[in-house]
Amino acid sequence: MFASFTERLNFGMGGGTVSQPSTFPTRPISQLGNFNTFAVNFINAAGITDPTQQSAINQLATGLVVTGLMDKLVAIYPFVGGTASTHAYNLKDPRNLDAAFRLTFSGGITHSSSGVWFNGSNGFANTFWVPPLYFNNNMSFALYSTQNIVGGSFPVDIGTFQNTSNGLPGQAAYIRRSGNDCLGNFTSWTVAGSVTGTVTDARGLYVFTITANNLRRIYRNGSILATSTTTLDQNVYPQATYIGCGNYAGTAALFSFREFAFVSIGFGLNETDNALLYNIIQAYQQTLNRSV
Amino acid sequence: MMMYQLTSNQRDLLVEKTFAPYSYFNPVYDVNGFWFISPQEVEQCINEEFLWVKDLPLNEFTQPSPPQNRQQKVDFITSYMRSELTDNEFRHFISDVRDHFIDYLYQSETLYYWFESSNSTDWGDFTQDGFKTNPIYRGQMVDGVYPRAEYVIFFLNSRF
Repeated sequence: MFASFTERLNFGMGGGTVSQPSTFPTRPISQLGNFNTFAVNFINAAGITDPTQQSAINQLATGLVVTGLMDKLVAIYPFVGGTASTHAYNLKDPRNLDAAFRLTFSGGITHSSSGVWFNGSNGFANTFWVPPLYFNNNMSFALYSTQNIVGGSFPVDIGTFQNTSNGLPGQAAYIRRSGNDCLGNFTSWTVAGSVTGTVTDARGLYVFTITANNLRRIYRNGSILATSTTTLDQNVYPQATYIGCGNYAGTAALFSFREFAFVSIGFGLNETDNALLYNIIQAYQQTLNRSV
Repeated sequence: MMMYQLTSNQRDLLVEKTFAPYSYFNPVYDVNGFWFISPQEVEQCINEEFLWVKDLPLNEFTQPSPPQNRQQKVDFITSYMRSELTDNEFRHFISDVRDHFIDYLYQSETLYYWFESSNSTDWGDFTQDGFKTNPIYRGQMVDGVYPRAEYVIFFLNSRF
């Protein structure tokens, strides 16, 4: 049944860590301990040795699996703390491949225990995730922002689009622009299908999502911040998604000065999903002692 | 904001190269057309091939603002191209765009603004054979009278 995947190190309750397993012998797969498989694979790929970070990753992965949210997300970047090496991997598929949506970082970025801080001048991360057409009217970006920073007129926190002047077509999120606008764009080829809210605090978990052609929403910390019910079919723009700026026509533009402690990309998330996701992410950040 | 300034040759050496694992240089130009990299790239550089970046001069960097209207777009690309080209090259650039529009388009994001502001349906259009200048403007472009940036601005201002 498990073919070439028949045994694992003992990551169970024996007191060991991934880097220093307990003295119990390696166990058959059927006797895996309490470490989630997504977590184990991620921890090994990213080379995470800190027991608190290992525990937090396991807590995060377990929560996402138990609630079913893991199935709704395609790329999950825990930004657990450390370096570009520990921040590059996708929890959902932690292979060192572009096809696994492993990040590559470019320009000015500060990696620390609190997350990944993009410098607003030339720093960004390429996710290599190009939205397939079946994400039309069914997409989400989630970003955990740690600082209360007001951006400029159009600092893109995550997104991709064809045209910097009007954002058409494309999908992008702006947590806090000048004027205290919080903006999510899920556009058609010719019309800006946007949802806009007002924020005075850029910190917290922001989720920008479209779940139907007449339902675009922004959630902050699990609660609805803004809703748009305008009927407009989204046309995803099939181009790699960047974090820390927008990708337009293959060029990074409209850089954002902001620190993230978690980012995910996936299908649309409803109210229940958002409440669950916030609880999971907030608990994860509390374990890492960096919740806001 | 202070950033580390590069020459064009130094910029070419850094493009698509890593300064640390999973981390690539990303030179960007400022409002005056000079190339820069960030303090983070310099401080975190451990690639022995590029340790010379730690000796780069630290200068004021003014980020180009995304043009908000048609006039700003034309001014922006005009300023950028003038910083890159000699006067003679600049005049030829404006003229040659009609034949090599696609090539220029992908060389710089600022050219994209110019592309948008110039509106291909006004200047001409793309065909299977390339960009064809609108006959109305062909005289100015082909008959030895180079349509300088001022002409482009004049045209756009009078039209819009």
